[in-house]
Amino acid sequence: MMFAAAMAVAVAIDVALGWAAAIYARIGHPVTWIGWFIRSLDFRLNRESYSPSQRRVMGVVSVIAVVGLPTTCAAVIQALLPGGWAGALLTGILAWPLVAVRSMHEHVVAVAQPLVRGDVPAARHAVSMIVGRDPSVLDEAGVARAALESLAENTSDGIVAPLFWGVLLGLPGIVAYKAINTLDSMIGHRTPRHEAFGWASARLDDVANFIPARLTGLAFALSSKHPLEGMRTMLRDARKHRSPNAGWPEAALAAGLGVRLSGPRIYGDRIVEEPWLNAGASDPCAADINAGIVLYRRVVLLAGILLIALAAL
Amino acid sequence: MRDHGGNLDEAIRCHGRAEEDWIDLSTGINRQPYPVPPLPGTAWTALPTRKALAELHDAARSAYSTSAGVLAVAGAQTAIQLIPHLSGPGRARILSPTYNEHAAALRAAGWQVDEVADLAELAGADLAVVVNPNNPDGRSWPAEQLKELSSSVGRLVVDESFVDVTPQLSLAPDLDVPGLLVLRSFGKFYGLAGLRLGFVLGSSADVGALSAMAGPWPVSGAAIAIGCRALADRAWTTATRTRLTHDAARLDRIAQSAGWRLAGGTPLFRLYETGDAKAAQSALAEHAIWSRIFPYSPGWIRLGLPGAEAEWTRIETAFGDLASLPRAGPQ
Repeated sequence: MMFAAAMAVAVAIDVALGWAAAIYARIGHPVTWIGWFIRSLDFRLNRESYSPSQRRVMGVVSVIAVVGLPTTCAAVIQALLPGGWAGALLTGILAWPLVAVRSMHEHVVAVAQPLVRGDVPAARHAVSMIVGRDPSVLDEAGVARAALESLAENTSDGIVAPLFWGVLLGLPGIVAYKAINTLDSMIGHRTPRHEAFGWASARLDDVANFIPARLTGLAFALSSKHPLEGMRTMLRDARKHRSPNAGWPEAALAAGLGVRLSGPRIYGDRIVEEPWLNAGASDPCAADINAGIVLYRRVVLLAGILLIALAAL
Repeated sequence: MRDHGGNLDEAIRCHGRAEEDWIDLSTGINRQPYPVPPLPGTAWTALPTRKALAELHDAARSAYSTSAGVLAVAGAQTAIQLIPHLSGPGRARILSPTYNEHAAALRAAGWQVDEVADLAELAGADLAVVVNPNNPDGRSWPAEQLKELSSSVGRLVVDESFVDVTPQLSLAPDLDVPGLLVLRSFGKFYGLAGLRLGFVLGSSADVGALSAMAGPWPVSGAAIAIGCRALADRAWTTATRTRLTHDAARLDRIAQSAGWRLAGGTPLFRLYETGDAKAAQSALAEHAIWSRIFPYSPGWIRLGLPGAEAEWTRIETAFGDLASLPRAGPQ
């Protein structure tokens, strides 16, 4: 399977190099380019004076444009690439910016290091880079919880899902997935401004992540010390989560580390009651982030082995 | 009452003359205003509809190139008074010296307020305020630096009341950081301060909470009608930016001829070091030109830009007299 080989190449390059800050400063990143496109459509088409159904239609139009345009380009490029190992290598190089193995690792390590030292303000600052929540009210357990939830969700969104679609459909698959996921993160919120306009983005993201999220949960469970128990907890708790997908990797990670995740959280001044995942366990501490990073590395390794095995088929 | 520009009452009390004789340069309000179109009767007789308000918000979003949440309010001042109530009082820091209503509104709502001189000192505050570009000294900070800062404070309020002439400084186009609020003034650049219109831009959650506080009719029907028209008029905006930039340089040349040194400013107002601000203010007042001086600075005087050519002529005459006076203080 040429696409599996290509994805293995992409992972290998990203693990070795990452996306250097110097490149980012020069040309940004493919996801930031998609982000500019989404933002310009958001302020042109998502008009407050439109009715909710008009805004929903505009949201569908935006999804078609944001997913369709880059995916078509990727399909054309894929068709022009040669087959065989040369094709796998070139596809892998092009797909490299779309798997974020190294940056995820760096971002979570940046939270763990100050938190282990007891420097909560620095850890809060680091966690604000990876979560959309106001971190100023978080204590040690809160920061650790936010970092681990983000690790679980981003292992699915940032690594397993792009690789899954890349293996199935090649460059157009991974590009389409990144476009869908970026749309969801920018306009898929249930806020007055994006409830209608972001509806199509949010639903499509749920569909695109359905299988990858469950695979990620399975991978976390298999990488932990007690795989069977992990799977049992995942099957019991995953559906309690407000998101149809995020509960799977989160519950498996919670079980693997022996901590509880999700649960009540503060948004602005409101406390939103959410059920706990792995409710019987205690709150995570700084050391649990490091344990989470170890599990994450094992998941990446497992994915790498699987890709190579698929490539050899 | 706190000390402000726009206090023509005081000028009349101390120096006499009728209100219409004065050229009021004590604020940064554009003196060549947007031409107000004739309004439909319903602008005055009917309560503004939600749709009309939504259209004003769309017009603001377009004009400010943002996809953020937007709320129209009766001047940026109203937003300044509402924001302290968005979250429980805590420790606020304000980059100073600046427009003093921020500190006053926060203190009135129970916040502990510290005024700091450097951007870096704002980090760690529950709420931080930056006026960008700053009033009265015109200092400004790039958007990237402010976004960076916003992750190390609970909430960052960026008051962009004077940014319209230099839109490249505005954070509005990429306002996707949680806990960041941007204030825009309508009255200053469009020269319609009496209309009382301004905007708050921010996350849906924050803007929703502010909207609940502001109530169902946060601005008048007239403000909606004029605001929609003016914000969509790109030709006027471009021409006005060019004219203000040009006029600011012209005022600098006149002020420098009287020995004043430029100490800062934006194309809506200029700040000069005069050596003796009180004497300078009195000398201009003799010519019925009102200016702004500051209790914390002995030498600073701030002037808005004159409008019509007749006003420029009077300014030039006044400065001609100033230049012939002996210098009031050390340079």
